[in-house]
Amino acid sequence: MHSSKCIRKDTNVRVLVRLCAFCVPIFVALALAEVWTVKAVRSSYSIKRQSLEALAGQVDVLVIGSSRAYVGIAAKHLSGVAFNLAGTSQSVDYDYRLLNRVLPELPKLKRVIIEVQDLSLFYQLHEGSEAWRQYFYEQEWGISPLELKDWLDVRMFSRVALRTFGFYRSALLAAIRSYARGTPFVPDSSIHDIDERGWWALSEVKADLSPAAAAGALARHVSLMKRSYEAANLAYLTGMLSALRQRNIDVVLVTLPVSTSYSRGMNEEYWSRTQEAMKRITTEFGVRYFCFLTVPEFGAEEFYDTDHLSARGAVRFTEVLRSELERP
Amino acid sequence: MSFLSAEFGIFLALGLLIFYLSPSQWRPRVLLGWSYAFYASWSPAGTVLLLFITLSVYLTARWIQGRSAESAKFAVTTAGVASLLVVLIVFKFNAWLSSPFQALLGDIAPGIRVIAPLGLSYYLFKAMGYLLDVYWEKVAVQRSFVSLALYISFFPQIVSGPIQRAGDFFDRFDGLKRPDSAEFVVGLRRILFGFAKKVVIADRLAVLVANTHSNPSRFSSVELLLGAYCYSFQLYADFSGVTDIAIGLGLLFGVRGPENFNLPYFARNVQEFWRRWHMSLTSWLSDYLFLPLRMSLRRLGTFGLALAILVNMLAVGLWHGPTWAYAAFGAINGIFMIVSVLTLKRRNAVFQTHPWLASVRRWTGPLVTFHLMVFAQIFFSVSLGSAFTYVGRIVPFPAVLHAGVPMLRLSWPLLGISVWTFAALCAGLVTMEAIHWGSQHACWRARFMSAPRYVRWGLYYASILIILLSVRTTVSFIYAQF
Repeated sequence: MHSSKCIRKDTNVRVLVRLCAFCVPIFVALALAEVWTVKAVRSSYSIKRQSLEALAGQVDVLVIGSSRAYVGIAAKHLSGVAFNLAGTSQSVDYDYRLLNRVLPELPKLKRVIIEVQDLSLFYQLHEGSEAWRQYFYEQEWGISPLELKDWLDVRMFSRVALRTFGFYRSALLAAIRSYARGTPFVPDSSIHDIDERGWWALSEVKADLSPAAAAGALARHVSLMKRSYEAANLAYLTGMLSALRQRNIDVVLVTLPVSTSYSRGMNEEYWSRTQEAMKRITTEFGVRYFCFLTVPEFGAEEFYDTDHLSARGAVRFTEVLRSELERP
Repeated sequence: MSFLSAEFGIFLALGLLIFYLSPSQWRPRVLLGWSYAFYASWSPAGTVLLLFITLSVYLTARWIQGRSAESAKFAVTTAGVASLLVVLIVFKFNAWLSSPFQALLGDIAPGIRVIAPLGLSYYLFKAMGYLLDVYWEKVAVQRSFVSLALYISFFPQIVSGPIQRAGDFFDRFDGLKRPDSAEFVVGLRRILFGFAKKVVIADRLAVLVANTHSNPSRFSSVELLLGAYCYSFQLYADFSGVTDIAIGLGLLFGVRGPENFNLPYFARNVQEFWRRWHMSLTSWLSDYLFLPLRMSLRRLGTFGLALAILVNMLAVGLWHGPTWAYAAFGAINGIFMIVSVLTLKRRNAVFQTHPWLASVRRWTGPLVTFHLMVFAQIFFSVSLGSAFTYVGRIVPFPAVLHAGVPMLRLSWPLLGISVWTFAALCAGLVTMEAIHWGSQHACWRARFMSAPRYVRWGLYYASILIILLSVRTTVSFIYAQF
């Protein structure tokens, strides 16, 4: 009995040692992948962070908001040194937390442009199909998710895990192709069009602005919107305004243009509640609000899709916005 | 928390660490806690139901044991099993009961909808089996609540089975306290194989199947036939993959679960197919439904046998859910089975009188059986109306049914898969079946184990790499919905 126990213990130890030995190459490969990801794989979030850090001492205008502002405000066409910190699906709560994170690092900041749209008061990033983005905020900006369940996600700790396996498959093939052709290897080609001021210039194609195309976008947005977020998002918005006004920073609220087909299909109740909130806020905080929801002169060439401006549309819109801002 | 998620990997690693660092007598409790934590990650409300059902079954079984009067034992067992069936019906059939039931619920708790908790069919069948086994004195009543609760909630098996019998589980219960390190390694190998089946084969086939099954009118007869074959293999790779993962996970904790598949597409007839496919469910139904029914209908002779088979196969179909398509799947299999059972003796006689036909039978038997199952599984894969449309478009009837679509076209781009990927999948399927076959033969197992370590480890590393590079969007296990 005694000897069988010894044999068993010995076998267990041997199995454990072999298991550890087997895992060593896997862990080494993962560690190398982490190092490679940190060094070589850039994302829109890392580009924005690095670009803002490089310009931090000069930035006097900051743009925040979601993808409509990200692609629709060409910061380099605004006066001064403007930087676009808006991001895809960036909800008001993330605007608030991101602003708090960068505000101490921008000593010359004089103006903040906050994008307001139909989703602003009724959407938060942590729910829905775009929730994966919150881990990029954690990794790049140290902005942690607010819900405990999200803290257990492996993407909180690993940069490799931020990307899908499809990304690595494509990157591997791209690396082989680059090596064969002798061209430089860029793991993520989708970040090429982001400029040094954080603006993403969307390629100019004649957009499909039909009601059917708008219906698809509206349906996706409606599925993300919840009335229950309204109070919290309003609190985040007014929190931003209070903090900025205390520092004597001018705040401008802006609604960017969308296609007529999109604006006609918007949830009327939500939109009128948003407009009422803007009225209250502008009075209470003494800030300006520009609503460019429908700009009749903007046609298919100015739009990338029914609710995002193309590069051409963004430049035109930014110039309109600049002239409005410069008006006394 | 899916078996396929990175969170589950962390959950498992942490669970194993705590399990192996715990004193042996505490390990069942640790594993029970871990199983409930796993289940709560899917459904916190469902966990309360699971606990309630476990407690009810525990007390009912103890009550049955404490009675000597046969009539009282029978009455309590019947009431216990019926209550569990009612729970199953309320949750599974709530769409059918929806009008009155949801209206009542709406009055009591507005805004609440009944949704079947994950794995309900699996753990309720375990619970029912335990009660019946206690009544029939096949298994001793569990004095320990922990062991019964662990049997019902054992996390590797609760999502997609297999449905382990109570006696089998309790016989292996000691393994929990003294897990075998050799079995641990076997478990890891099994998990790797399960992942490969799911991610490399099933999820790739799913792309083609999703196309053909979502809109059959766009596809030719040949493409739809290919879609039907691919669905059969997808279902097999998916379900046997999750079973491998479940068995492997069980082995990591010292519990060996029952096998669920035994090369089913090599079955020579329909009866044999159902002895090789989802074996834990079919043997459960055979013991607790078919045999009692057969005994009670034996006076009706052949008709009684046919009726018992039909009821049993309908139960197999409806176990998956209360839809007409599952009922049709069960009924079709019932008819196949009845014909097969009733003609078996005559067929055997014919083949005995013509021995030269034996080799023909050896090859045609599996082929015919496979095609019968491919046909039946069309009803398993889509709604009843769509299944008829699908079958109608496969059958090469005139152009009326195939307006604008050439019947013999085979367009890979339309199917959403390249010919090279398809060829690789075919190679993967052959490899999968070869591994299944080899693992059943001790000599091949020994040959593999005696290969140099660098060869075996090289194969494992290559498998891990192929799995990682094959992962696309996460497709949940087909059998996790039941």
